[in-house]
Amino acid sequence: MISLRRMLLSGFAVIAVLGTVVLLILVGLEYGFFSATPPPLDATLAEIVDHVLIPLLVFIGLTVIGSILVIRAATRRLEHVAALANEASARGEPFRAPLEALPREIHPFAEAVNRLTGRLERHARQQEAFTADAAHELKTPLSVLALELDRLPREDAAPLKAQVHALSELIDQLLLLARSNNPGGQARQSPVDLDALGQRVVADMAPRAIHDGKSLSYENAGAARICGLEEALASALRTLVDNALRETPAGGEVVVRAGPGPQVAVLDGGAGLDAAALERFKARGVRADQGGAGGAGLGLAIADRIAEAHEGELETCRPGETGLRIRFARSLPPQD
Amino acid sequence: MRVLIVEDNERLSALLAEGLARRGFSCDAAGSLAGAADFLAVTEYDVLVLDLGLPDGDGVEWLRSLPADHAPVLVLTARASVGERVTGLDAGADDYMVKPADPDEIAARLRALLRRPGTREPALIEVGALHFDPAGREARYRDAPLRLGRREAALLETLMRRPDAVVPRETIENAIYSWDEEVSSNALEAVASRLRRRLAEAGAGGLVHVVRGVGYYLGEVAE
Repeated sequence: MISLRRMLLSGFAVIAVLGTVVLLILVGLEYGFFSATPPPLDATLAEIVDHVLIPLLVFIGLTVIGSILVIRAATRRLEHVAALANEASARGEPFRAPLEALPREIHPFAEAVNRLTGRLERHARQQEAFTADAAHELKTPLSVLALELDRLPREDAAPLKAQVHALSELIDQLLLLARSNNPGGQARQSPVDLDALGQRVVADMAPRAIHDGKSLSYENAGAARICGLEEALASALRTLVDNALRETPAGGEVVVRAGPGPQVAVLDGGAGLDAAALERFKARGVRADQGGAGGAGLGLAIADRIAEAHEGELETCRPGETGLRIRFARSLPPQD
Repeated sequence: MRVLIVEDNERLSALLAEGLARRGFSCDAAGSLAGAADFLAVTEYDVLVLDLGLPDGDGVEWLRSLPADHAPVLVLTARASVGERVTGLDAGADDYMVKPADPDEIAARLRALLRRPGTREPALIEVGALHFDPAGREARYRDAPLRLGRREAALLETLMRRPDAVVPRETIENAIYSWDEEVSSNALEAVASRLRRRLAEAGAGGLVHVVRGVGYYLGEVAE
């Protein structure tokens, strides 16, 4: 790693060595040390100490101290700006490095970074706008489809309606994902209580689980609050519960456990995915049961991206338990 | 019941009108805000179904401009986020549904909107073949009366008022205990199990489900 301080110190060491040699030669010539009749050695040494070593040490010592102070002041400013950037990121806000707080020499670098983050933000904004338009455009034909299905006999329409519903949820998820990736967008990030989130999702999904002869329950193991887009997080958690319910045989139980700390786990009564299988699902958007009725496949991959947009990671609970969990890197301080 | 559908997609509004007609509503369809205003000028509607993105303006603005005594409005739109729902409801919508919506649910919500004025207590709460009389505190399954204690009756009533939803434990406790009563941690479980027993005796077993960590849920009740 390159350190400014180390570069400076080695520079000064070189200057000290070269300077000493040059001065020694000059002093030697001046006092005729190299002539046929050199002066006595101790007198020469005293001259060298007086006129070379002491001034050189004083000069270099002061310069080193001064330089270190300058570097420290510059580093402090950089650290301050880095802290501002971290705070903005924790609040989910866009960030521009304030040039006035930085030394002029660093401006070209800071400007380049600002341009880069600006481009990323613009990209995220366009992505959200595009997804929102696409979602809007897709939902109208889907509504037409849903109403057309309504003309069919009820038992024929039911499975098709389920597919329309799944497709519409997928569109919502994509939109939520685009929103989570656009921190400067209209959907502002806010504190999300993982305890409340878990209860809400379990309450939403329990009727279906009960209908399918499975049980769904909730546990709070000391959940924290995080900063994020509640709708997107709820959708990601719903996907995990949905997958877990599918993996669990009738009569089995799925448990949603919030905490400890900034994480939510969904434990299923099935075989559970191991890390390698999970990576495959994340990458390819394959669903755990490889097809079948309802659900449109991309679920886990989108849930993973939503977790990622919240500085979280979707991982397997194996080998301890079977199930999946999302662990977030950052939590908010507890509310008082 | 007369419904005005304001929706610019003609296919969609025709299908919606047809679907609602099958469920006993009579519908007119307007393709724009100006068209809707024309319909409203000559006819009195019981309820409006409003799309938000219309060719001649935004439905939210139009909602704000409606007179205070307008018929109830159900917004039916593709705008799905919480913020958009809040904006719609704040602008004066009485209910908000996101496309694609199930016609059964649209019809149910329209009926609920039409019931809302006066919001008088229904004389009898019915869920399938379960009946509860809130005034007399009596419950019946099919024709058999259920002999319930005060708390069991309150639990059943709370669950029956929100069928299809998990009712949070706290809501139930607030409904069945007065504020100064000491509630032990498993008291609600005991009430629920007595209620289950009474229901099973009447032939309605397996209805009250616990959703551990959240609350209770009344399962599907046969007609």
